Parts: sequence; structure tokens; C-alpha cells
Amino acid sequence: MSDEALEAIHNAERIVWVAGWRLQEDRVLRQLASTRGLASARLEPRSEVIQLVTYDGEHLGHVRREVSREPEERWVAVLKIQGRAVGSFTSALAAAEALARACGKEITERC
Amino acid sequence: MKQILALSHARKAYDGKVVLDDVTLAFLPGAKVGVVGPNGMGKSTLLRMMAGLEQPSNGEARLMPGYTAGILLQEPSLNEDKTVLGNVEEGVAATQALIERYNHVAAQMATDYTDELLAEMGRLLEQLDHRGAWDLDSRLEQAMDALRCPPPDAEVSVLSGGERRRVALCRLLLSQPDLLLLDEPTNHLDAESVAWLEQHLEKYPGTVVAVTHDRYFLDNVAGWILELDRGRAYPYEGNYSTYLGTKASRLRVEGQRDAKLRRRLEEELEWVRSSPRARQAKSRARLGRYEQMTAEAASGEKLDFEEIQIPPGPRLGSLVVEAAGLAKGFGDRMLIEDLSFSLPPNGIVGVIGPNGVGKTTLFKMIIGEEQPDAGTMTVGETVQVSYVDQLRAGIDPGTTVWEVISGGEAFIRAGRTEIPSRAYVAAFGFKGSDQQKPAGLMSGGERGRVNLALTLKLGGNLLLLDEPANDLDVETLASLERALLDFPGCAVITSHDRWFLDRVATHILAWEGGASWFWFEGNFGSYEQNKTGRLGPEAARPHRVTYRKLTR
Repeated sequence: MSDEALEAIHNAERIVWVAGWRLQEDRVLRQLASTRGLASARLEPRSEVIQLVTYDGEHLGHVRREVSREPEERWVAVLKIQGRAVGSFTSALAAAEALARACGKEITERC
Repeated sequence: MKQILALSHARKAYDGKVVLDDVTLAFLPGAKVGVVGPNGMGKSTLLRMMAGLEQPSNGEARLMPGYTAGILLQEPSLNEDKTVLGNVEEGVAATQALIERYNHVAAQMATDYTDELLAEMGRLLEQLDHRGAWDLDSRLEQAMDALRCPPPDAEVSVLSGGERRRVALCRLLLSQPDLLLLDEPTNHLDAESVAWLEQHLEKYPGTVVAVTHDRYFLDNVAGWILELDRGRAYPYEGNYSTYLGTKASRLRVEGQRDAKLRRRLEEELEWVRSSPRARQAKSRARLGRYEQMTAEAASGEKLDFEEIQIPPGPRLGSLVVEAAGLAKGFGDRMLIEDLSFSLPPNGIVGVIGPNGVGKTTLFKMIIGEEQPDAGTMTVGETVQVSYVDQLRAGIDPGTTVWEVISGGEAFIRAGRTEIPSRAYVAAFGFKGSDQQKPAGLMSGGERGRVNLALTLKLGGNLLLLDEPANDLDVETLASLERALLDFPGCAVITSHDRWFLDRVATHILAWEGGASWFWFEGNFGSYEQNKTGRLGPEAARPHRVTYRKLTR
């Protein structure tokens, strides 16, 4: 198969993969839409390593477990806008709370 | 607030000459800064220090950890072993590496699902989202098209200086550094590519610091103007118009000493604040004032030798330059087809279009060096052309800048006008010891300024100027504008500087694709409106030049 054909296949696979990822996100956000305060849910049901974070149903971003050889867990908080990380934390909860503060939310309730 | 780069008491000296002295500045994420100042005042040096290419002699220039910086130099280096596309793709090499890794992880996850793979996939997707990787191919194509890059498969070793700069600019913009440093980014771009670049930089997510004489960029994009003068840096919050107003007010407070400078700033500010209709009226009024301006020039009013002066030429008759059904090809390419226009006395024509579409050929037809293939180009009997072909100027490399321009004479004489030669040379930005520089050591920009000085002293009544705005700082550019506005005669000027064209042009002659040219009465802003009305908004977007094949 030529390089151009391989590239075209990779492009198509990429589009399908990213579309599937977005559909997962939409499904999870619909689940969290009616929650109050800070809430999170797994993006992929089989794994906790990526969790979407909302506040009063508003999508703030996600928290992700770092790929690391260190024994302690590290969790990265990532803003929805521009995909910028706001820091690295020792737990998913701490990362979610940091995300909420970065978006100007006062944490009064957690789901 | 978090800084992206800090200069702390930074000082830079070369051979005892202090270029920057005790400069302390902080640059914030997302800021858009225009850097202005006379030639030789350290603007390029400042950018090089910010990029880490030079160290301050004292003090510090520090890019904060976690941020990236990229610079477009006046003479950028490219990878000579690669094609145009290969060089441009270097700007997105990091993104392409992420995409390759993403493809690999996605393939693995199909058969071997683990938490670690999912976490890495999440990290990759964040980074690819952040870099806008999903439409990378179309962004690459669009940027190369808009900047009119040479063909993707061209070898960079055969490119001209201007083409190399466009490839380097394209590569840099695609790499999207957090701190974008640009040294005269609009040089070697045509007016439409400049407009595209301006829009791109306005939306740029990072910090932009640009040394530029493009006043529309300074007005539309910059949120800060940084003026460098005699080693010191003066920040002004706001755009170019605000800078003019603030500086004029400051000089008013400081008293008569800088009264002349203040008046100049106020004149420019008045124009900035005028409506498009008022500007059009002013340029139209020029066409009816030839006799009056000729009489004023002959009255021998005292000249200000600190400013650029254009000696008036002999009186023009009613026929200046007339083209009828003009056609011209070159090799197997049709450059000009069915072009007709008549340049009136006192008209100033801005000629716009990318390199290679026939602007120089038009000049050569006016001076009679080239003949049209069809149609006629008639130049009136009273016309005396002032034009210097830079490539054929035959300058002795051992002579000094002053000697080249003055011919070694204490006064420059043209008709009834006599100007002290040292003052004349200084008006083009060659101050003090700059005038003693050997011609063989001149930079490209200095050669351009010498060429302009040689052209303007010829004393003709029809000036042909090729990109005169390219190598001038903002102050000298304003001086040239005033000189042209006071000049009782005609000019045909190629330029991509939209502010300059709006200020001086009474007519626009624009390349509009293939061999098609459009003659328009009005300035650049009015022409662009007219073009969008005629051809739709897509016509204003720049595209790579394609030529019509000659059929004869």
C-alpha cells in the first residue's frame, strides 16, 4: 500500500477515534447535567483514569491520572478551554477542586 | 500577574556603543506589542536578547520556565537540504510526532486495553486539541497559500531573500510558540498577505512582540507600543493612535523644544481620526491642486532640511502616462492583458500585487526599457522620470554612504533647489557616523534607503519608487509621506504598506490574478471595499500566484 493510502487510512481512523471520544464525553455530560455542585464521572466505564468534571452541570474540564513510574498517584487537572493544565495533584478529588477554583467556582457541594 | 518574559536592568553595548541601557520590562501572556523607533536604536537587538540569541552585557533577559519562544530574523536561516514544504513542516514537527504516537497508542488500544494506555491517550488528545492538530494539513496549506510561499517542492537553496523570509515566517507561525518575536514581518509580503497576517496575529493565543513600521498592524493589533530611543525603552499602553496622542500631549507639556515633532504627531493623529470619506476627499483634492502646488514650490519657501525633501521637477503637461489595451508576456507567461489607464498630473499611483506578477515590467515599460506586446504605453513629452534600478546602480563598494548619495558635493542641487548634502543624507536615517559606512558593508535595508535617496534627488516630475516603505522606520516613513504629499508631480509607487498607500495614493493599480489588472481612483481602503463589492469577500483573501499560460 502506498504512503498516501496509509496516511489516508490513519486520518480516517483518527477522525473516527476522536468522534467516538466526543460521543463518550456527550453521554457522560448528559448524566451530570442535573447534578448540583462539584461532580465527576468516568469518561470510559472500564477505567477511572480520565474523569469529566462539572459544576452545577457545567462542563469545566477533566482530571487525568499521570502515566508515571512513581508509586504515588499524580492527577492532572485540565481546563476544557484550550486544554491547558492547571496543575498536578495527589488525588482526583484535589484535581477536580483545583479545576473548580480555576473556573471561579466556590465549592459548597460535592456529588 | 504571571509574566512570560522579564528584562531586568538589561544593557547591551557593541564596541563601546550602548544600544540598550538599563531596560526593565515585563511581558505578559497574550500581550500584543509593537516596537518602534529610529533605525539603529536597538530594536532587532532587543528581539534577539528576548529569543536568547544574544546575552545582555549587563542585567538579565529571562524567559519563564515552561514557555517557548520563536523568532523571525531579518535574514532567517532555513534547512538548505530540504524543500519549501520540508522546512515549513519543521514548524509542526512536534505536533506530527504527537500524531504518530497517537496513531500508535490507538492501534494498541484496539487489542490491548490498559489504564496506562487510556491515560496516555488522554494526555495525547489534550495536547493535540491544544495544538489544533486535527486540521493541521488544511492549516499548513492555508498558511502557505496566504503568505504566497513558493511551490512546496521547490529547493530552498534557489529561493530569493523575500521567498526565504515567507517560508521562515510560515514555519514560525505554524510552530505556535508562546512568545512570538517578529522582526519586520511585513517586509516582502504584498498588501493582502499583510492583511491576512494581521488577522492571524490578532487572534494569536500567545504573546506577540513585533518590530514593524506597519502602522495598521500597530493600530489594529497592538495593545502596547514600545518605543526605543537612544538606548531607552518607553512603553505606551494602547495602539498606534493612542501612542501618537499620548506622545503629542507629553511634548506639549514639555514645551517648545520638541514643538516640530509635536506638530507632526498631531498632523498624523488628525489623519488617523478622520473618516474614510474625509481621507478620500483629501486625496481627490490633490488632483485639482497641481497648479497651486507648483506655484508654492516655486515660491522658494524655506525648507526644513531635517525632513525628506523632494525637489520639484519641470512643469508637467496634461499627458503624463497613458496606457491603452496594454498587453505584455514574459517567457511563457502572460503578465498583463488589456490594461488601460491615464495618470493625471499630480496623481500618485500605488501599485499592488505579489512579487513576480509584472510590477517591475510596468516600470520598465514606462521608462522605455521594455515594449508592450500589444496596445500602447504613451509617456508625455514633458515627463522627466526619476528612477534608479537598484541592481544596476553600479555603486563602488569602497565609497561611503554620504559619497554615494552626494557625489562628494556639499550641496545637492536639483533645478532651483539646493539642499546641504549631509542634512539630505541624514533625512534618510543615516545619522552621524552612519554616513561614513563603506557602501560595500551596507545591509539590504541600507541599500534600499540609499536607492530612495538617489532617486528622489534626481529632480524629475514622475517618480518611480519600488517598495520605498520597506526599509524606513515609522518616523522616516511619515517624513516621506509628507514629502510626497507636498510634491507637485506624479509618482508610481509599488508598496504593500496599507497605511502608506491610504495616506498618499490618489489611484491604485492592482493585480487581481492571472494577467488581470484593475485601475481604481481612490486610496487602498476604498479599493479593497470596491474589490469586495465586485468580486466577493473571498477575493480579498490572498492565494498563491498562478500564471496564465501564454497563447500566441
